[in-house]
Amino acid sequence: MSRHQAGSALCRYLDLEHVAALSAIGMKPRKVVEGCLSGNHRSPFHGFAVEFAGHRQYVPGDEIKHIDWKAYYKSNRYLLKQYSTETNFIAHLLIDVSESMTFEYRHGRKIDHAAFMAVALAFIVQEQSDMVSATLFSNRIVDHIRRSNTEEVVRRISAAIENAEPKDPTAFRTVLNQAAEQMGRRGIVMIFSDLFGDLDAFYDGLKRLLYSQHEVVVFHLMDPVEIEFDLTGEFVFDELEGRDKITIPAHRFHDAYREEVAEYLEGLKRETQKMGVEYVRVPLNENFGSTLARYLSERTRTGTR
Amino acid sequence: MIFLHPLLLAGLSLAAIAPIVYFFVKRKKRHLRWAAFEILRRALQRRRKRVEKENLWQLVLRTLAIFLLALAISRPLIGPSASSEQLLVLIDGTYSMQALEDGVTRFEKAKKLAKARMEQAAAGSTFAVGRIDQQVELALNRMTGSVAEAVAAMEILKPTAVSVNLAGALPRLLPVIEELKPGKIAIVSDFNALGGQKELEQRLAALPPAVQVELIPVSTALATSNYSLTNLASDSGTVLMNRPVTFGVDVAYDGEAPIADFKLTLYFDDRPVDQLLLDLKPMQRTRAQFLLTFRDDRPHRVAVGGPSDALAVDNTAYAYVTPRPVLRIAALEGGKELAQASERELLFFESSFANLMQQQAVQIDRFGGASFPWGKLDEYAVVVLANYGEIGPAQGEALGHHVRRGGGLLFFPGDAVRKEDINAWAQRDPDLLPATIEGVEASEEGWGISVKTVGSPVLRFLKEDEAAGERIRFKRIAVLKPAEGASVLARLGGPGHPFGVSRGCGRGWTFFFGFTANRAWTEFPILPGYVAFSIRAVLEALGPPPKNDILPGETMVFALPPEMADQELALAAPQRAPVKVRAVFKDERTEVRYASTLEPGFYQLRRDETELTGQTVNIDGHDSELTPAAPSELAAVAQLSDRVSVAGEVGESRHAGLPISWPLVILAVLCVAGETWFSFKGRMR
Repeated sequence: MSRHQAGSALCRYLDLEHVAALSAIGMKPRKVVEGCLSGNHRSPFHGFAVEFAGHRQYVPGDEIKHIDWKAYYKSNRYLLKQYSTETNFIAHLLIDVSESMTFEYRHGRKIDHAAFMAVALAFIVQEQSDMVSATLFSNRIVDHIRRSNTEEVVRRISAAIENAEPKDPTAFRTVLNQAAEQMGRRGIVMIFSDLFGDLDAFYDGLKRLLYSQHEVVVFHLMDPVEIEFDLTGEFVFDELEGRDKITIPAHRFHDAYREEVAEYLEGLKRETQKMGVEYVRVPLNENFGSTLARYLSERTRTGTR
Repeated sequence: MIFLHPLLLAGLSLAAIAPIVYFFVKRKKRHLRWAAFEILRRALQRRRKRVEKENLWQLVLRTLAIFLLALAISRPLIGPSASSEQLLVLIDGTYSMQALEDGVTRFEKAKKLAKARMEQAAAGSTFAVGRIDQQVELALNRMTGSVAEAVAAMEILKPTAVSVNLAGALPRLLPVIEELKPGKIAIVSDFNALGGQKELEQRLAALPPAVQVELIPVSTALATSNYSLTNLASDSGTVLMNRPVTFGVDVAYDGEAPIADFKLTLYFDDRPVDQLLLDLKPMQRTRAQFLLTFRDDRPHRVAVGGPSDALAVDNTAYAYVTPRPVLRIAALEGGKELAQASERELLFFESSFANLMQQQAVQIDRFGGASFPWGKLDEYAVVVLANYGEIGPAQGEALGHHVRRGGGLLFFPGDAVRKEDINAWAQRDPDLLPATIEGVEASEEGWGISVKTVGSPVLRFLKEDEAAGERIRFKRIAVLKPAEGASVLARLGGPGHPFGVSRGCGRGWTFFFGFTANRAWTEFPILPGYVAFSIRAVLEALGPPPKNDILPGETMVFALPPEMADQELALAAPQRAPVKVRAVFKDERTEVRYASTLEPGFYQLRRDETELTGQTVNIDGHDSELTPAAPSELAAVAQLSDRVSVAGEVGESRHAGLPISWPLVILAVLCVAGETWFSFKGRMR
């Protein structure tokens, strides 16, 4: 991919107007994350860097220079000072590029909506000097952009999404397991998908990610018509990830479909909540900037867990 | 069931549109590539059967709605079918059918009639033919749609010349009916039957009800001349009731050997009531005469029959005798004049009255005090109030209604009548009473009738003897003050007070006299002229209606030819016609229409569907029936009976029946509503 192509893709997906507003809010991990640099975010490693974390009893073998002599004068005990180190985080973006993400009714393709969100988040994160990686998947890992905190990574993510050819079905279990293997350091995993596939496999994949101590956020993209099913008349529904067809008078199935969708969404919400996974519904009729702004603000407000 | 517009039955095929559209017409479908396919699939599994069932219902309802509408527009009527029929034609092969008429045997004539009958049948009809005598023999033992084939089969039939009663063979029709399943059986016969028509009718009634029977008489040559009674009833106008009526039958014997003491039986309402012994000679006509007395005014059926099939007596030609209804007069007596009169006097009066009413049977019922049953007022044509003063508002109203509907009211004052009551009544109903009472005047000498002042037919008999008026003396009189529009019948000599006053009210007449039957007032009731006066007064009270008005709820009887059914009916030029049509008019409206078919050739106009416009029609309050018209008069449109007069032109009318069959339309609408409900339900989900 030429640099020029990557640049045009970035122009397509990076909406600077929205991103500028979102940058002001920023993105912070809710959990502690592992980083390789000193940064804005708390690291799980206690040491002797910036932020005082507490005292502990001196044991033989500790370096004497870390003894807090002021505390010794006060308590007549050898206590060692402890500090929390601050570090940068890695945002792992997992973007579904299966065929179902090409669904389009009135509010554009889901994959484009996912791309806008992913690129915006990538930009915000790298602006914070945090690192971003991205994985495009369907029934396999289609593409992977290695982590980086340069602007280049945003450009590469944009180009990868633009060049992706959504034609395969989704296989969550395989893909999320593989992605978890690749990620290594724990960070924030953000999944952008319509979640039409084997949900049990999806839950298994989430468990694998959680096992690696990642903070997981699921952005569930759905077109309003997929929820409301407010179609009237005879329709031939062509399966996006298969070859099946269903011909029905859509209006006669409104209630049955809505009942099924409600069950499906309720199940998703319940299971993710149970696992401690953040579930964000992304309606396609809403501007992605608004969705993200609301999400980030909420995240900032509720803070670290 | 027949259809008034059978051609519109083709509209039933439109019902096929719904299934054709449903199954064969491709509806515009939109394609949509769908991501949430699994959800959709599950929704489909959940709802498919229900939706399919609803679709099916919708289809059925749509089809049914179109079907019912098409059926409704065709206007089905339950009754004899005018459309195609499954006809079994049976020709009488008994002895009498060999009789020659105009050089042709009746059997040959029967064949021609049968052929004509089949040719008249509607397209699509099927036929079978055979002969009936003591057996039933089919010349064509299957139903054919070809008239030519049926006629060809019929040609080979010959009469068997068995002298038997046709009715006896009818039970043998049952297996034939079972086999051929005809919708109608036409029997062509001269219907010479032994023992009258009763047996034939009973046997016909025993046939399966689903099969209609049509009797086609071969010879009606004697039908109209057999019964002089027919002429008596319709032409002479003589009252038949309680009088012996002589009528004759011409019997033509076609047998080969003379018969002595042939018993010709007279049947009265199907009961043998008289028998004549006749000597019959071949090819001779013999006139038999019967005497019969009718004791009531119901219609009766009279027939004759004899134990031979060779008699040329058409027993189907019944004489339906309808004597005129009895003229019933209610005499309400307030004083004791009539009660005190001797039986002999009363008998004399009533018999004189009845005898002088030559063309009318009369029955006078006397009621004293308050014993009159006011609920039966309508049964009386004329009400006489003789010194009867107990007229309250309810009675006054009933009498007003009675007169307005064509009844007569004769009022005689007397001691029992208070002038205040009468004047109050006149005030309550100013149209009814033609006068009020100013007072009572008395004179020892009394006053006679000034014959010169007689202007009414009631007293016209006095003009034959001018002195007679003066011989009648009225010692007391009620001084009458005539109301507006009232006629003074005559005036009394001396003060010139009115003898009586009359005036029309509605379609009846009221007569108010200044005297009463009390002998303290006058001796007039015992003078010979009193009967003549009474009869005249009654006849005048029942005279032609003073106004040409139709009153609500009245009945109009007129005649229509059967072919007028389903057609617009113009009453502008009423003529005599053969079929009776009864109309009950509710009001003066814009047109006349007649509705449901009660039976072939008889139609009933319903009050709420009957309208008249711009014309005034006088209608008899009672049912007046017309006598049948001659064939030459069949083309005429309508005839009001002689008791119904027409003034001005009767507007156009149109038939017939309901514009469409509303029950079917309602069903169709329900179907559409059901279909819409399903659609709406589907869209609301």
